[in-house]
Amino acid sequence: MTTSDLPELAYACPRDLGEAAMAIARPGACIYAGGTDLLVALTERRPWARFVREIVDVKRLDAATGVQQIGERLRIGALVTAEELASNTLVRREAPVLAEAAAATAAPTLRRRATIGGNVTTPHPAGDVATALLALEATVEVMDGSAVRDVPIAAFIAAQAGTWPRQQLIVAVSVPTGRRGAFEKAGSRSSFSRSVAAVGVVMAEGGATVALGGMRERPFVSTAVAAAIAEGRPIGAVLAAECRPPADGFVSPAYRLRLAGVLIARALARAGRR
Amino acid sequence: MKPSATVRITVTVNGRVVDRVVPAATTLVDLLRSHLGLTGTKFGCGVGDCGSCTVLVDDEPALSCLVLAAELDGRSVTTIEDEQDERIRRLQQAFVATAGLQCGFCTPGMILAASRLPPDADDAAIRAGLVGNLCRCTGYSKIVTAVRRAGRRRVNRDTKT
Repeated sequence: MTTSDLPELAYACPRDLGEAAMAIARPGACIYAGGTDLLVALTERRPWARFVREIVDVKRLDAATGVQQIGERLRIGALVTAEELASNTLVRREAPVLAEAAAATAAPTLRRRATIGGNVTTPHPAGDVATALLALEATVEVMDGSAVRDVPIAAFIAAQAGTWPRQQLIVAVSVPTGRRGAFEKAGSRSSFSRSVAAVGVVMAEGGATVALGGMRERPFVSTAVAAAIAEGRPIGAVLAAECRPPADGFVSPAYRLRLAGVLIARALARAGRR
Repeated sequence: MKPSATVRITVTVNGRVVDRVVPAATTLVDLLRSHLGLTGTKFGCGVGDCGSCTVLVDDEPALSCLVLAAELDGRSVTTIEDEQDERIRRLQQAFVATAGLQCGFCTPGMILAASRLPPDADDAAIRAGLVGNLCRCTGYSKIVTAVRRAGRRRVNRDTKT
């Protein structure tokens, strides 16, 4: 094979949210932003990609661009790339856990394309950026018909289970400012590797918020682990009860659990020093 | 706004303006190789894992297997065939002089990815910049050396003028 040889598809490039809402409502329409998920799925002929008839390129939607500080929150357009998250001064200062997660993801060429909206939408067990956003208890601005609705990120991710999520247009993600936090991951090599386990930790008044990637079907926030940490209890047994770590040819569930514990300790230590 | 099965694009490829009507689901690597006959860009994995198809889009390294031609209207693309790009040419010479290639399949992608690194990048920065480009022959050492030498020549030339 020397070409991508994609199936025949239609292409639309809406210029505003109204046009985008109409385009996405068409049967077989699929949102296209960075393409690091969709074009891979189409090229590999993944089962779900057989239902795609039309690519809706959302990259011209101005409403989904840029990083702004609004009061005590950062509004991050859904099209902001991992590279921008990693280098943006506001994100690095106000939400370091997110900047670190973005910097730890993939390779430079992919980071320049992959968007924050796509990372939240793609149903991967260990989206690094999604894990950091869970730790920040981010809010997702989702198009609902022709209106925009705010949804807590944990609810957004939970609601996608079993659905075809790529028809839900995220306009922006908003996170609180000034939260100390840290992100840790380990993959099968030191970089350009999907996370075997990923941990996002954000310090708040009542204790830490702990988000885990790679330990269930999707990243999630563990209040039980956070409670054990706050009470100074060992977290090993709590982690084992909370997680459903998958096994593959390289990584056993026990290894993944142990790794998660180590990464949590590292993230807490760094977040506490900030 | 209606969806369309074909898209008309005007793209500047290696300084030459190209006007084409292509099927909407045409990747940039297919545009280059199949439509324009520019086979210097290599199709490796097709899914963003290997970096062999790296080109420049608006002067920034991009994986041409993960970009659609349809979104490139009005933009510019640079490939290994660009004879005017000084940084690419200097890297080509350094790869040859250093034996930074064996089978050569990854080389165009390596060179394009390296071409926009800062000229004074140290080995760690070069490795970080090329982390998405796989080579199955060289073991990378000579590739890093080639990129470092090409950068040094550029720094030397810049300080002279």
